[in-house]
Amino acid sequence: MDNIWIGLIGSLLALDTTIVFQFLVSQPLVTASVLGWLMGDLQLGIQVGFYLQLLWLRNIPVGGAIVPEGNVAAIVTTCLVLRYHSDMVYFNSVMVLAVIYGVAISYLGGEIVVMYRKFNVNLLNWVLNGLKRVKLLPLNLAPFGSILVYFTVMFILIYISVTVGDVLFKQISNIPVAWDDYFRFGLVAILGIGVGLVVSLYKQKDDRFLLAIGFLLGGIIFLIK
Amino acid sequence: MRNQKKLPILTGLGVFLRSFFIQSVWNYRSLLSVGFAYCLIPIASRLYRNQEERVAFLKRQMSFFNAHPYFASYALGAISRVEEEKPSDPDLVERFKNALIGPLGAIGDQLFWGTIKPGCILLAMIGVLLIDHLHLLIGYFILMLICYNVPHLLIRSIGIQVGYREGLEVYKLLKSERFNKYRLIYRVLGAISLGFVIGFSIPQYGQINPVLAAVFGLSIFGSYVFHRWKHSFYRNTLIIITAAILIGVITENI
Repeated sequence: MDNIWIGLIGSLLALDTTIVFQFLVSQPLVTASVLGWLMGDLQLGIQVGFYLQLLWLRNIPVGGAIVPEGNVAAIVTTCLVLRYHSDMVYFNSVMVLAVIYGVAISYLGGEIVVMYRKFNVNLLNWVLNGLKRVKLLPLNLAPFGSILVYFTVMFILIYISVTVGDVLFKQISNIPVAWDDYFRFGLVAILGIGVGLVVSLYKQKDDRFLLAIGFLLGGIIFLIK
Repeated sequence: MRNQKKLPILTGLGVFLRSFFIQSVWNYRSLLSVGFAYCLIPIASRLYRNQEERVAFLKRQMSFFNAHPYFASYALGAISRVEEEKPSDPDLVERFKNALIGPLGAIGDQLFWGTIKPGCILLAMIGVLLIDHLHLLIGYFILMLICYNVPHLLIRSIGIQVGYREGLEVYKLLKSERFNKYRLIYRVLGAISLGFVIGFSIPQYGQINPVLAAVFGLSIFGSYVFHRWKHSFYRNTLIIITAAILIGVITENI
């Protein structure tokens, strides 16, 4: 799939993060699955989404909080893993390196959101000036203008990130295949980091009991399965 | 008779559909104000025939405002009602809006971002661990999205009607205890699901290599402690991943 299409689909899904709807389709589990399906490997897409999801689940987009753009990171990471895993020979290496790359992109995404919100002050002024002149058109158009700006900026970010990622990840074949086993530990850590972040959402006394029930259930079902 | 009053369906639908765009012009000066005024355009059209009056109404909505995007619908409904009654105190609308910011933000953030969202996502993750059939898994994901979006859409639509019905009295309904039973359901589901992911993954990794299971446990602990101690998500993530890879290099070469 062409980088332009990935940018378009990614930025469309990114709108759901905070700008419009907020139906949850921008969550990495959904985003990575959609991209996996479009790129011809739904199962791998779901697997990537599974590892990424918890890293950004704890982010709460309240007020002016600047949160890492997990959605954009998921798009870039999924795309790179699907392209460069080389029939799973380099799955662990590509996955870990793509997540690290994705985390860096999520930082950039967060910073871009700050700039975008500053830009929106211009739209606010435009709307206020319109109302002063007894005109409603600016108020009617401002949301769509803002959406278009966000979409464009995210498109550029995803397009550049995937293009630069292509250049970097082409070098993956230079990594000895045996090293992929070391990276497996990093991959396990990614899930662990996510779990550790989300655990802090469940810190009431009752939650510990519920976590323990879930833990036992998980262990038992694993043994049965 | 106050509580019998309902917003006309088409006007309510107009506000509801526009409410999906409430955060689209979020900015650092007035936060949600542009989106809020944009949502109220159908109300302005209903209440006032001439453009000057409509604009004056919308100008009043352009002051600083913030709320949880779904729960803002309560404010949209309530402001519509208050404006319809044409209060004699010109500052009432602004004071009322300011008074709603706290409850609308706190309840919505706790309920949706802190409970329903993690609950649904964690439930979806169990599906990845247990369901091998891809079509079934996709069906399960869709079910989880429905589990999230039913309360989401209900709050958006009911909020407008309830806000309009109650007007200035809406604050009486905006108490977190009212939503406790919903919070409880999703919190239980979320906590059990998270425990499940841990309980399932540890033996799964242990079967491949016991050190992997240990690294998984250590990274959970490290991430939890690091996050409480220092909040840098980026640095903590990088440190733990690097440490895990180093453990891999050391143990695989012994």
